[in-house]
Amino acid sequence: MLRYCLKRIGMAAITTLIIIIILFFLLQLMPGSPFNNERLTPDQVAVLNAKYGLDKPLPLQVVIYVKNMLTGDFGVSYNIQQNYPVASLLATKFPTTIRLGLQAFVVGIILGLILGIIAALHHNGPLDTGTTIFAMLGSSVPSHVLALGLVYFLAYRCGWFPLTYNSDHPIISSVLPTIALAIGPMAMTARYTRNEMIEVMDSEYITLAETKGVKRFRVVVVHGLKNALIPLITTLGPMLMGLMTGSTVCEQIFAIPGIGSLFITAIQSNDYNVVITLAFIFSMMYIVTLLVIDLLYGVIDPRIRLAGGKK
Amino acid sequence: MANIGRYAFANQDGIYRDDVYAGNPSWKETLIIFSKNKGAVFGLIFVLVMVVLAIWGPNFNSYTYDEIQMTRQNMPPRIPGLEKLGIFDGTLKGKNMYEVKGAMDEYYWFGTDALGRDLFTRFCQGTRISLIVAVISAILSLVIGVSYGLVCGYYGGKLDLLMMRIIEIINGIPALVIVSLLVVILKPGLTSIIVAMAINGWTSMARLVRANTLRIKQQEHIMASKTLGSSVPTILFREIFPNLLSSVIVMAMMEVPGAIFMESFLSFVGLGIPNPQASLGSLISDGYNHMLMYSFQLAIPAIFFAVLMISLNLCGDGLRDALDPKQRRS
Repeated sequence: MLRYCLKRIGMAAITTLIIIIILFFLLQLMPGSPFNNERLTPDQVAVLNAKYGLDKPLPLQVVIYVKNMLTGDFGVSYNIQQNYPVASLLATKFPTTIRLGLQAFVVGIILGLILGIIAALHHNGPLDTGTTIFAMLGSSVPSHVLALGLVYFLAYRCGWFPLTYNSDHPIISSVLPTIALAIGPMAMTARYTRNEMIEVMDSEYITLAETKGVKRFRVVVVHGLKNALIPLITTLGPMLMGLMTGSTVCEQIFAIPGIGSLFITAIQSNDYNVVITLAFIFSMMYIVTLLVIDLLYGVIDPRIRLAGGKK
Repeated sequence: MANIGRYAFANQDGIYRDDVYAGNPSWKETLIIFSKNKGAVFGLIFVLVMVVLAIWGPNFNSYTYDEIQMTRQNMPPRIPGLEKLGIFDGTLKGKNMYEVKGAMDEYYWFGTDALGRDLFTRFCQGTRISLIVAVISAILSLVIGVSYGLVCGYYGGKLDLLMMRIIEIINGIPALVIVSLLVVILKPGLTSIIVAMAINGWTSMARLVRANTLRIKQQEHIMASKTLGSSVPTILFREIFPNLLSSVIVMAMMEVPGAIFMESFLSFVGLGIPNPQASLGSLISDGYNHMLMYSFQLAIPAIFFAVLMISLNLCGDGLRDALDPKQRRS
């Protein structure tokens, strides 16, 4: 088990390192340079280059860059807030995004589980068909189209919710973005739970539990769900990916001051340090999630760690 | 009457007699399974309608997608025939805008945008671009993914290990990051969006192909081909690839809606197709700017976009069920 864990962690570390190096070279390729100011004399440019270590040979620059990224020194913002450290810029925006993402994630997973179980228990009944159709729609309709629809009907036409996010009323104004983001994970969870539950509820140990007189609720939730949940863990990765893309657009639509809307602003205003940093943060979140998923899977399913992590 | 495969056994008057049904070629079997799936057929029909609109739509009326008419800004939709029913009659907030502007003989089926461009033509043009992006990037990732996966699976060993590590690293970077950074570097445009999407999309195809190649290369016909002295490319593409065809087609089909979504995401971020060109995504993000005043500018492309995504997914699911019975979900 320890070997499996170390292998996974090592892999994640290498991936991180390679991503930082790729990001470094992408930064070199970005059109324009922060010192593209015509008023700067060559001497001044040389001073600036020395200050940021840009006069050193390329391999050394890469090493410095990796060190800076890993220690949280992401450089300064060029355009959004001039000379303001990117790390501090992020610190103000990060909590909102994380809170919103978690909200959507938790709501989506819980509702999806309930929906999936209900559908599986009424296999081939109207409730099952309804859930299947909902899961199909929910996983096909992009979250930004959904968000726009919600804004138009529930916020503008009915006036039940505010049109944009207001940090003074964080609960009520985060309802719509949460719904828009939660539908995707919810549909995905419902579909997987349904398919797994149908299979699990067919197996003999469930019949045994029922024959022994275990209560129906206990059979479904404790005996059935526990095994049905295992494959669901693998969908967490794609789900997080969807949430990231979705939340970037949803933050823009609802004017939420999070890292997603910061990403868009940074791209539009060519603030490359911020863009690269956010790309790094997104990648880190994804890598850590994938790592946790793999480790969890190893803990839950012994077959995987015995096979040396080969799936 | 028990109907098992192509045979049926009937018990009539105490005599057992077997009815022999005609055997169908596999493509016909596929077609039969596919056409039984109502959702998939609906999806296919809608996708075909969108394809027709994308190819011929811009010629359906006399407007062009980039013709700016400052006197015809933000005209609401007006469709001949339907206007008598009280819908799509060119009224906005109770006023017939066509009367106000003195343009009673003009029809903008989907209205016009803030620059007076005909939205129907732009919509068709946008569908064309979105479909081009999706189809070409799916084909590109198919070509890359299949070759990579075949090589990985066929040679195995150290090479396979190394190549799979590369895939794992690429998979560790979220699509959001790869695609948007690549488009920033390559400058927004049709080619760069397609390239970015192909670079992002081929890994899952490669994994699928590798896994299947590992299985197929142990079969006897590969051994036979090797013994007869076939070259490696022949074995890969003539012997192994045909066995993978159906699952590869399904996978490529599943990637199309993803690519359309990614393109619309890029438009929203401001990295989409530059003006005056249009795509479904850029129409939605343009419409979003005027959503509260002129909701039709957003509603029409958004609804079509959502239905297109649903149709493509339904179609892909139907195709998977028809081509790949092993992967079918209960």
